[in-house]
Amino acid sequence: MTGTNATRDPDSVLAAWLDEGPTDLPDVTRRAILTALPTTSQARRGLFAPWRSTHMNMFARGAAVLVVAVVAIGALALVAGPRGDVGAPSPSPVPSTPASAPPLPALDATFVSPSHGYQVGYPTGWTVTKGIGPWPPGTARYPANSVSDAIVTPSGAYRMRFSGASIALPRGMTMDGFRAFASPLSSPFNPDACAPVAPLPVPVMIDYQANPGKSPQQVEAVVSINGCLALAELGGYIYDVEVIAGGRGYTFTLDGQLTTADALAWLATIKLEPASAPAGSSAPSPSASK
Amino acid sequence: MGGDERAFADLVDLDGDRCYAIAYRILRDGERAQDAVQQAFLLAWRELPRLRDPERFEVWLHRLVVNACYEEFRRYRRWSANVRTLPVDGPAARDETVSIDDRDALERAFRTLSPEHRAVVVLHHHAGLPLASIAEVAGVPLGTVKSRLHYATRILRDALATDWVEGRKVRPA
Repeated sequence: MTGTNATRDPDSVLAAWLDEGPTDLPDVTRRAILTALPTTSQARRGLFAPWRSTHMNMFARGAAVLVVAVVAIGALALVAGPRGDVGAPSPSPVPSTPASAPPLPALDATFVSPSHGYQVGYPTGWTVTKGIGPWPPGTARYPANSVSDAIVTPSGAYRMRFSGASIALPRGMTMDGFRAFASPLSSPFNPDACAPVAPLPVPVMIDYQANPGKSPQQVEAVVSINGCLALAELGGYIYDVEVIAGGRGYTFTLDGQLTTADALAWLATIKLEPASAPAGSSAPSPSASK
Repeated sequence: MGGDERAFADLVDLDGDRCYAIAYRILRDGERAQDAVQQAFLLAWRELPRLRDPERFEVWLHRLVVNACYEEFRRYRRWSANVRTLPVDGPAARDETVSIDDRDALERAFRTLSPEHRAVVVLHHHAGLPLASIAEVAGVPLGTVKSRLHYATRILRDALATDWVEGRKVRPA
């Protein structure tokens, strides 16, 4: 073939060249990975480990089952390749180069949650999924589950996500009690594993209107920053937000290619309207949540 | 091995080959690709409890693999800058329609690309991911993916050395 003419597209030559080479992960590497698992501690989810660990394991199994199904359907038919030895690198985090996050578009549309008693601004054209609510008591809320409202970047660029849900709180429930079940994914931010992130001002305030005829107020939110550019599933920081107003506990998550300024701008568009939330489930009593 | 570890072992079985194929093609080195894949899977194991959307697992795992490749690339760049790595992983499957000249030219040109450009090329031309998915995996805007792919493709096409006229390549005598 050398020196001959060809009539193919150069991209097809490139693709054919890339297809050359090994495609099977050597068994020695598989064994090295599996051998290291028992001595590789998994991430903890914050200050309420006993309660959270149950959900963590269920979640991990759920992820595994789902991925098994997805991969089984879509796996490539790869040809067998050669074997080789492998080193044993330490499982240290791999900081990625911080991506130059595109600016958050104007939050010129408004989403009024039919299930959770709040409204929030979002960029026109983004994909909105209304949460079906109510939030089952005693269960964790995840941004992707059907309970939560979700607003994500339009198809073709899944890079930012807002999600929110709320639940009626029993009298006497504190913010710590609410966070114990509402924010199982919150955990102390580990700056060593991540690129720098701008600090949040304290306090972060959220608009709140008790009733349509009442004057607007503001309530303080607890905001934690989790995840980082290298490890978070959307490749950006994760802002977990909890706030209590009008007898309801709200939890919001903003994640993806967001700067701290973006997150604050988005939070500034939230208006809590607990009176508009339909009657539904309520959180477990403080004693039950411990 | 506990239940979670068994489930994770299934993930390694199912996705390990694909991750290795991607890592090998970015790094062009079998041992370093193995190191990158191992590091990515151990990170995935460690961080899995924090994954919030199980449907995002595959994209997330691929991001970890690509990031591990970047790390491997930078770790070895200093001493390997002037060393041409010969294929040691053969006998690899070879497409006989790719000429020796093409293969050599592409190999040399590919090694001039940054790991970020290599990743885009591999994810697009080998893994077959759409550009939007590549943006998710690489953690960069879609426009950056397009520009990287355009640049890298031009470099590789140029490396094919010759003139492509209406899909027909004519090598100099």
